Order: sequence, then structure tokens, then C-alpha cells
Amino acid sequence: MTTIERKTIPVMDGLWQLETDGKPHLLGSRCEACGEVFFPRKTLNFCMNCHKESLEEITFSGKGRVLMLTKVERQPAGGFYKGAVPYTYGIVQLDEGVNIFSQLIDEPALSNDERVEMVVVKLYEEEDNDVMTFKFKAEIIREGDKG
Amino acid sequence: MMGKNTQWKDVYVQGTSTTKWGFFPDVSASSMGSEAIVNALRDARTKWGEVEAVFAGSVYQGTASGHRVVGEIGFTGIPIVNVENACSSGATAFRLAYDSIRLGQYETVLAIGFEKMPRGPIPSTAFPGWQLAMGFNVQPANYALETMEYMRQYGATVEDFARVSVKNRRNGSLNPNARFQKEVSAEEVLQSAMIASPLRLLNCCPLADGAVAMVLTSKPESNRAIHVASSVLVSGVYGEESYQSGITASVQHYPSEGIVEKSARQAFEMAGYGPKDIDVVQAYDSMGPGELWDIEKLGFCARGTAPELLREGVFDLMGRLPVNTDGGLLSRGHPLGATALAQIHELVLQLRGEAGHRQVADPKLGLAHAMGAGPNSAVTILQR
Ligand SMILES: [Zn+2]
Repeated sequence: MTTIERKTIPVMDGLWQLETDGKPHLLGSRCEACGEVFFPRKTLNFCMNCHKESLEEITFSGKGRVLMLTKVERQPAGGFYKGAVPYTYGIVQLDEGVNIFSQLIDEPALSNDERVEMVVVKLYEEEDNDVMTFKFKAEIIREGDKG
Repeated sequence: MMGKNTQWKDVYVQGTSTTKWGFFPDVSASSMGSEAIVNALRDARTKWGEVEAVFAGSVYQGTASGHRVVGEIGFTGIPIVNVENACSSGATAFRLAYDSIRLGQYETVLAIGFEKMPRGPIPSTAFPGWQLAMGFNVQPANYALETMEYMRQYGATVEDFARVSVKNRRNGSLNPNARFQKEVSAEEVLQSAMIASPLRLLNCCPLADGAVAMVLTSKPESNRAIHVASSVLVSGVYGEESYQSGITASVQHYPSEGIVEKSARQAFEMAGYGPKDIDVVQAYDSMGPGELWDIEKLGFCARGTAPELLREGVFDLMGRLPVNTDGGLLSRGHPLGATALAQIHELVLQLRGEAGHRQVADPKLGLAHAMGAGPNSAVTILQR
């Protein structure tokens, strides 16, 4: 019996990367001129807010809060989505000041304004690959983190 | 840029026609479009040879699809311009037709919108691939997020949203061209299948096939011609990037004016009228809650007050400001490229007094608003 090595691949390159703390972090861009923050990272060096060519790459802390969420009960049309249904979907406001769409892990149940953190989990399987995505789940405040 | 220029021509809708809306597996998109054109010419008493240009809106009909429509009537050497602008394609075709006459390029042109919705997988180019793969392109879900925000800010309830469907389906029951001509109760709406909480099946418009055509001219020939007071398209303002607006990409640089508000302001300025002058409205109700915040953003009432006015009957056919008199997208159905022209078609009928059992009392000014992916916001004001 042969064991096939499963590979993990991201749903898109360049959305996140492993940092020195050993955790995946979302990648973005920040404008040095006006302070605007973008996700995902902009490959074109052009700020959509102030129109200057002054973007720098940043990594996000991966923490934020839920602005609003919904549960999608039906398979999205078009056949592009191969993940599980139903799924929880919403907007997370990252601590760095940008709102992003994301799926959320809703167990235990999340509510508006709740603190969340980013994780990388499997979205779906294809052939020998696990296709990975970022999602957000309730932030666990450990004892040692307080104060 | 906006405002009056004495050199500009006044533009009129001389004739209009719509097909029935629904699923017609045996009818091609081009034959629906050509049927609408022939009937619009008859309504306008305009000869095909008098038409100097065609602006043809559709979303899913492929390359040079307007040429196929016109080809069934007969080429006459005039320019045919195909327009794809998502759900505002029809309004964009109208805007181009309007401008071509206003600026004196032509005397008489046609605007058409036609659509046969594809069966099975629908490729979306309005979202990048990774967002499609992550399930972000579900319109009811994106509207659900804005609906949650609307509920949080203003205390609107699912009962309020059900009332939109009840009103529009009641209006649609009086529209022989609507896909759904049957009323629904609030209980039916509230018990229909959940699509994306809090939106249920009967809060969401159905898809449909259909076509609308309109003859625009600077030489009106009868008192049935309806003056176009303004036609405006706004495609996106920075910081308000999500589909039906309200949800910002950025919290650092929030736009001072949203896309709907901006398009409404420009349309009112261009027309020389304000919200208080408008007698009948076709608002964008692809999802029921959207109609409520649309009415507010267009300037007809303060933010958060539309649910109360709806309860009081203000937006009913016999109310002070009837909204979606033909049943809206919720009853009529949503053939993407044709929808926005169907709204304008209904305004023309209302302003002529030809809207049959759904005719509102003596309207003089009407406003139609269409949103579209991109985003787009198109506002058209018509005047008897
Ligand atoms: Zn900038």
C-alpha cells in the first residue's frame, strides 16, 4: 500500500505568509503618505486614496473584531466555490484599520463586535492537495496575555 | 459639467415597449430584443429608417449581441453600440442614448436592454477568482451583511423587510408582464427558505428573461412623449467598494458621499428638481431591504425612517410616494441587462397615465434608480 503525500496549497498565493512567530499573517499594503491600509497586498504601487506611489508592504497582526456576519445556507452559483455549505461569512475590521470579507468559524457562536483572530484552515480538497484559506475565529485570551 | 447648457437639446422618450418577463426556453435573446424594438417603434410611431443609432445593453449575451438583435430587424448602416454595465446596463444604454441626442449628435435613437439568463454556472467577472473560490460572491449574503448593519443602526426588523415584498408583490399582481403576478403574505415571506440570514427566498428577486426598447428623440411628436429631465451614472467612489455600498473597504478614509447619494444629487441638480417634487419612484429592490435604504439614500426621507413610512402606506400605489409600482424586481424578475430600462419603462407608462390598474394619481415627475455590480448607480428622472 502506497501512501500519497498530500500537499497543502493556498487558495491564492500572497494572501498570507508564515512569520518569525511561527504563525501565518495576512499580507497587505500601507500608504506612507496618507496612512491608508489595503488588503490584499497591492502589487501596483499606487495608493487608491491619495493617488501617490508610496505603498509599503505590511503584515497584519491577524486580530480584529467582527463587524457583521451572516450564514450562507445555499451553494453559491457558478461552481467556483468548493468549500462546505452552510458557512459563516462576514466582515472583520482588522486592528490596523481595514475592513475585510472573510469566512468565520462560528463555533462557539460569534456575535457582532466580538474579538477574532485569523487562522489558516482547509477550504476544500482537490486530488492530492488540501486547498487552504484564511478564516477568523473567536480570539482566545490566555491568562498570560492579560495585563 | 452638470447643470444646464442652452446649447443642449431637450430629450424625450417617444415610445417604449417591454416583453413579458419570465423563463422562455424556446425564445432567443435576440428575438426578445427585436420584438421589443418593433413594438417600441410602433408605440413611438417612428419608422425604423429614422433611427440613427442603437445603444444595446445586456450582460450575458456575448460578443456583439446587440448586432444580432438589430440584424433580425435589418441593418441600415447606423452605429450599434453594445453596453455591458452589470445590472445597470439598461440605464447605461439609456444614458448614452440620452447624451447622443442632448449633445446634438442625433435626433432619434434607440436604447434597448435584453437578457436571457444563462442556465447553470454563471461566470462572474465582477469578483476576482480567489474571492469566488472563498464564497464571497453570493449577492444575498453581501446584502445580508448590509441588512444586518441597517438593522443595527436603525432598528429595522425582518417584519419591515417582509412588508417590502408584500407591497411589491401586490403591485406585481396588477402587472400583466411581471414574472410573479400573485400576492404573498408577510407570513409567507417570513417562513420562506433562509438564503443568507436574515434574508429569505421571498426577500430576494427571482431571475427572468426579458427585453425593453425605447425610442428617444429631440423631436417629440405627440403629448405622449415624456421629457427626460436627467440621466446620471456614477461608477464607484473610493472607500465604498462593496456591492450595495454602506460597507467600506477602509475605515480610515470614509467617503463623504456614497455612490447612491452622489448619483441622486447629480440627477436632481441636472433636472432642477428635488426629492419633494417626485411623484413616483422605481427603486432598486433586488433584495427587499435594499429598497428601504435606497429610498433614504436617494433623499426621499431621513436615514432609518423608510420602514415606518412603509408601515404607514406612504409607498403604496395610493400613498404619497408610490415606490415600485410595477412590482419591482421582486415581482417582475431580474434579467440583468434589461432591468434598469424596465424601471424607466414603468415610469413612462405612469407619467402617460397608461399604467392600467396600477396607475398612480396624476404623476408629473418620476425617478428610477438602478444599482449594479462594479459598483454602478444610475438615476433617471422623467417629466410629463
Ligand atoms: Zn495614500
